[in-house]
Amino acid sequence: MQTLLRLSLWVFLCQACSTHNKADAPAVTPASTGGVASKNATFFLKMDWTTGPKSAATSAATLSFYDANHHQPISVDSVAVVPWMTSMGHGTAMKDQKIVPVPGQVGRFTIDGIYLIMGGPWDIRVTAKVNGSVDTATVAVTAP
Amino acid sequence: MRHRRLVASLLVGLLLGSSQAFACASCGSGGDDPLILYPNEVDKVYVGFARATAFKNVDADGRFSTSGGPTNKDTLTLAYGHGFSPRAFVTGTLPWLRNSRQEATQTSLGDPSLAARYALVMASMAEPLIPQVQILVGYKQSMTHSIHDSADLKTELDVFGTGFSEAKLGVDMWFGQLDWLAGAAFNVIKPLPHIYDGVRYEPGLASRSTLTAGYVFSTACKTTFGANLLARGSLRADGVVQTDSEQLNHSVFVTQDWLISPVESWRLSLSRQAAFGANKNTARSDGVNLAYLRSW
Repeated sequence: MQTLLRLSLWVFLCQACSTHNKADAPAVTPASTGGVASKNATFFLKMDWTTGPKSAATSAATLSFYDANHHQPISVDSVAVVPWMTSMGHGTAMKDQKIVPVPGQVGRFTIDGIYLIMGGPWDIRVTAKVNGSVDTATVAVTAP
Repeated sequence: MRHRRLVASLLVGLLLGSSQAFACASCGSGGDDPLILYPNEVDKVYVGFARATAFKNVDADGRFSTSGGPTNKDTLTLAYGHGFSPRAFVTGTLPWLRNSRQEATQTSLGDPSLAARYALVMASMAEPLIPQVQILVGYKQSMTHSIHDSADLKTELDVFGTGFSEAKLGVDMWFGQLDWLAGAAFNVIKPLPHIYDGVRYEPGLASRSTLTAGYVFSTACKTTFGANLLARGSLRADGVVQTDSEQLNHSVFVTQDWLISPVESWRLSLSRQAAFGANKNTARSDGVNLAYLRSW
């Protein structure tokens, strides 16, 4: 009986330690895997390229929106994406862009048809409406 | 009869000699005024056909990258010049442009420009080491589509200009009295701001420096070569300096002139943009230009 009690206590302590260790481990947040806060801290954005980025060809990406403070997925009312080459002061063709919400996933969108007309550094300006507030996050990317 | 021939030969020789002597450092390089009048010329026309190919983008870090625009850019340039005195002349230039990419092409008139030059110091065969020194002014009116108002940013076929009018002021120095030729020119270029989509864009002040050397093989054959440096300050958008937007372009050129009569010549130029040194926010391209010039 004593052996059983000791074993139970040991299992309980191990579980407690295990839980404690999980709480102390660095959380896998959008910030830790790359992401950017919007200008007025309305949201946090993570942009994952699924195709590209390419120049003079279409690329695709996934946009994931999170609460700026807690990095929890948040609902987004509208999204617009404008690639901009700041160093040369111009944009690019946008007529092929398609932004579609991912079914069943809060704050997640796919964007196809991103066309970067030339190679070099681009700013991907993502403007979203969240809880009635419009804000913009800028993701820097270099196209080959 | 023999006397007449001798006089005619002397006149031809003098005309050819003066034409080869009174060129300038910045003409024929493909980037500045295509048409220059020599002191003995009153009216002159220039018809030139140029093709630029092999485009590569040079990004803000100086790296070559893909250029998604036209693969060929052709330019037919018409220019007319009028001399008011041996020291002063004006020129007007109108380009006609064609952009091509695979099977698709678009054409447009380019940005017209006016330029004037005045010789502060005239060259003299008596003192060949004193250079000709000209001051020059110019203005280019932006009229064509640029990348800022293009309707087709996927191909850029309708992009024919920078989108900004420009005024320039410069000086051109030329040692042209000996068989070996040399010169230097320096222009300051001020682009005028323009509003696109509600944003006021103002390209930075630019300078264009040219170094030229050459050799006169005969009265009818002259070869010049040289290099240009175009340096432009930062772009401003609504007064805000755009990060890393300065431009640099080191280009080279070689020009061959053939005088086929006292009043006619052909000029062939080869050039490469972003050819050497540091280049930034510009494009590499190779150009060939064939021009016919006639004076009256």
